[in-house]
Amino acid sequence: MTEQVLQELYDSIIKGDRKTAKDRVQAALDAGLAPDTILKDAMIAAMTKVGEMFSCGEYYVPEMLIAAKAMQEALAVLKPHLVQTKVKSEGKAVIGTVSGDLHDIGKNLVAMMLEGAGFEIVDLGSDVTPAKFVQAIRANNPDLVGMSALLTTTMPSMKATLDAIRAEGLKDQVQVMIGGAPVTEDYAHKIGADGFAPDASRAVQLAKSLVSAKRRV
Amino acid sequence: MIASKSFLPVEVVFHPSWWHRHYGITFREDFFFDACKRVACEQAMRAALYARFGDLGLGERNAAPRPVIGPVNIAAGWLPSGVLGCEIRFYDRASPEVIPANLSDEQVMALEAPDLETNMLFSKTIHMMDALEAQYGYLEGDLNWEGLQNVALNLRGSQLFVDYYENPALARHLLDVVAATLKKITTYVRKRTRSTSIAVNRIVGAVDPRISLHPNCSVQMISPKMYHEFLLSYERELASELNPYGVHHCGVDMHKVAKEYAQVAGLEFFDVGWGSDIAACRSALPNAFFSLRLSPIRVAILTPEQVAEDAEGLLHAAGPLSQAALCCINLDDSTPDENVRAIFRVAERYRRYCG
Repeated sequence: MTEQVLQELYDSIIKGDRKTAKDRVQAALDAGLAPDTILKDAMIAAMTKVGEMFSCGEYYVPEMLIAAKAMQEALAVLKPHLVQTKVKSEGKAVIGTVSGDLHDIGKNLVAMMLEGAGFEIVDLGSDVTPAKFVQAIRANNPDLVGMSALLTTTMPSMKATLDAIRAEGLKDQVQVMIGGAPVTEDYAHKIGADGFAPDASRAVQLAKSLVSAKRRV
Repeated sequence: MIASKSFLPVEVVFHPSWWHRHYGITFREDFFFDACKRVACEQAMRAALYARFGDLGLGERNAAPRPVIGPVNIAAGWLPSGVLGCEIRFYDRASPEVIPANLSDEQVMALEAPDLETNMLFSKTIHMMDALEAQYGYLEGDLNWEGLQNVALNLRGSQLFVDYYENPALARHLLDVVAATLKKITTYVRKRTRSTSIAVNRIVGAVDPRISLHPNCSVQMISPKMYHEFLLSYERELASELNPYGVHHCGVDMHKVAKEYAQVAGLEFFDVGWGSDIAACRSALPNAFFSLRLSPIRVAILTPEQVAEDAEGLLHAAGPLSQAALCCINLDDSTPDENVRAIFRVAERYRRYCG
């Protein structure tokens, strides 16, 4: 019975079926399953699968988006129980589209996928100035900062933000990853970011490895 | 089949940051709507290109004032979104930016294709065209028409993708309205200037200015199946009304949707995004003309030798070079001139041996 509920929850998230996802979380809780089991065995597992399907070209942005929305709504049902049982998050990430850039589809997708993977997200929105990133690092003490840009002309804002983080002496506290259509691995190296992800799925893998590296230090 | 005016044409388009840094040109509203500034800026841009790269065939010697109605020396797609109600933000050193309207369900369902003559933004364009025509007796150039799904995304935001699954009727209504608007705009512009898409990619001017090039920038975000289900019918309609017809697919994966494109009668020209598998595209579209796009980021940061390798790689995979062109769009102010020259040198070498 419990395995069936988890399987249905897993399937509903992959299909982006929000109603069933919420319903199955509640059913799993009612069946007495531990919140962290529901989260890890069904929900995070489903989002990992969604990421794999995106990476291999089986899923595209719409499919990933509806899956992430189903995850978000299911998570809203589960969250109070997670808080009660003090389930540890994968890490905390401050994320935003850099100054001068209003494009947020990619950034939102990364935020949702990270949340789906068990990260705590502080989403600063779009057109975020270096000062706002710095302020958010001070206020939230994240493990990770994620910056997105869709325009070639706003990519320099990524460097400006990194420079501001360094100038404020905060770089040692956070790992910085960047992404967005025009951004490349070479550019990430050039500006001294810790990592680059070409899409939301690989952003999750990168975030996990960066946070794990940070925690080892 | 498209026959290019010349063998293996090459075009480059610089980003507003390049124009601003090197020549002080600003891209505020007057650049787009003020008839005098329009003419003066385009004249200055042609003169600047000639002074810097005239030996490559760019620009115009003794550039004369000409009545160019829209920016054909930058990439700037925003007008249709503005016509349909999105707010537009203008900058000194960047193309105008569309502020996503994130329309509600009710707002989408109430949306209609506007009357261009009375639309506030388009009537400013008409006014500018009238002023130029009165002075010069003719008009040239055109307006970047942004593309169907691109405009729909600007109006609805990423909710459009959710609509494809959860409210397809609403998505189709939005696409209907956008398609009707794009048809009105392109038909109007073509009637007055005889072209629609040099402002989408200047390579159209070098190959065949009559081509209508539909910007499909965001098609890379959806599956070929979804393209088939939601966009293919509009592509067919546009192709039948705006022939000769082409698609601008700047995404990294045109090969994935190439078989869908092959189903569109009259679709003969492709602006093929960097990163696409060119050989697979050629296999699916054996007779089409390919404008092969280099990555402006790579051209900005690589060495000239590496840029030349990129260009050669594209040409090797392109099939018959009589059906190919090279282009690089949105080269920003960090781009070394030598890297631009490297692209043209490759094309010149291929012309010599293959032309």
